[in-house]
Amino acid sequence: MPTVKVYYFQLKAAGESIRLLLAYGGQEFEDIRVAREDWPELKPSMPFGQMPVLEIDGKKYAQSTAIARYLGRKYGLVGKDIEEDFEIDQIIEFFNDIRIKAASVFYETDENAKAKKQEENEKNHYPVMLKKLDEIITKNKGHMALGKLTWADFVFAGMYDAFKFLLKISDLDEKYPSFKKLQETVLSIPKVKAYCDKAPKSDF
Amino acid sequence: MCFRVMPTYKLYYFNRTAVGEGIHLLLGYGDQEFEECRLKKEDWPALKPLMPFGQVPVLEIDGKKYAQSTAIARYLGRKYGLAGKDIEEDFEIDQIIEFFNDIRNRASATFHETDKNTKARMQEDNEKNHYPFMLKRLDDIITKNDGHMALGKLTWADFVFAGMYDCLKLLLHISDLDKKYPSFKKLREKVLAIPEVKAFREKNP
Repeated sequence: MPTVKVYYFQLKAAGESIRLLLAYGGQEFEDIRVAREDWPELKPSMPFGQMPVLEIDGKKYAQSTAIARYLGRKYGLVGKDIEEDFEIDQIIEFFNDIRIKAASVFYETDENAKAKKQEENEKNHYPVMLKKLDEIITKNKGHMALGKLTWADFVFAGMYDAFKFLLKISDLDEKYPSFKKLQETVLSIPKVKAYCDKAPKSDF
Repeated sequence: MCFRVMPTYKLYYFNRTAVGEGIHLLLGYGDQEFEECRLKKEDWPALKPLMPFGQVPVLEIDGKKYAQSTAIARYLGRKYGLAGKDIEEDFEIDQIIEFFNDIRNRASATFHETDKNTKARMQEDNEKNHYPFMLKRLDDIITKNDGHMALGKLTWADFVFAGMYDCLKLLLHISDLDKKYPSFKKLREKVLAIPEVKAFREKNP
């Protein structure tokens, strides 16, 4: 049995998909949740000075989407050929596009610039992008791709609460019911539910 | 505008110098014939609704559209034997590409910021707190990998880097990037010197 550790902050956000995937894969792991004040000391030991990091028998894996794809391939949550795998990669890249747009508003420190960016997103980007995402999930029977469970669903489910927070759209669940449904689909998988029931709670 | 011939592959894009270029270079390496559909601004409103995510680049193969530049590059990389030998090796490629995209997205967000004060602030923050560390890390990794992005050998990640490099320099707004990190330009040149790529570029300037 390999020794597996996950290093991330006391959040779900970008790290949660890794925890959910490991749970799905029946892989025990040390769930290391780093407090903000402890991070500066740990930072230099991480491959890119960032988290989440997955460590397997001492080897460190960084970059959340790359890790999720790796675990997805390990646990059979992928397509049957490169065309199918492409479909997963494509929707994940689009989802990340939306997330990055929302995150850039969050990280903006100047209040006026922040308000302007949020307004621009709400007017010109979110409606089209979220509608597109909703259509794709609906077309795929409540999944991100291929009409079935893939690692992309885990990325979405793990990130969803942070995603809602970053978008600042309080009625996101009502506007696009497929989103929360997809999260629930993943979180209700028995092994995943067992992990969530015991895991520390965080809002996002 | 598009030619009237009906080939199997079509590539839709605006400018070759950014995310579309890596795909171009990969198709060249793969010796794949394709129709170039370089879009003009006035063509776009009619074509936008036909694209999977209302964006380009889009690669169309036998009528099926493939969008999202990194996903396309990975797909072609796997098709043309420019991937790893197992999931651990593929992970190494994905990891460096995701990091590279982090740098690119950061630079792009700054470059495309319309408010001058915000833009100046973002650039200053990047130059002080992010670029030195991130670019040194990228340089270290390329150097450690014998002048490649991963696995000490040619992979699709090298094509993404080579295709994006000139645009990245512009986005970063670091005029002496070539001098500061010589491994970057070397990697681009290494890809462009590959015989199939060189021949392709001579035929498609």
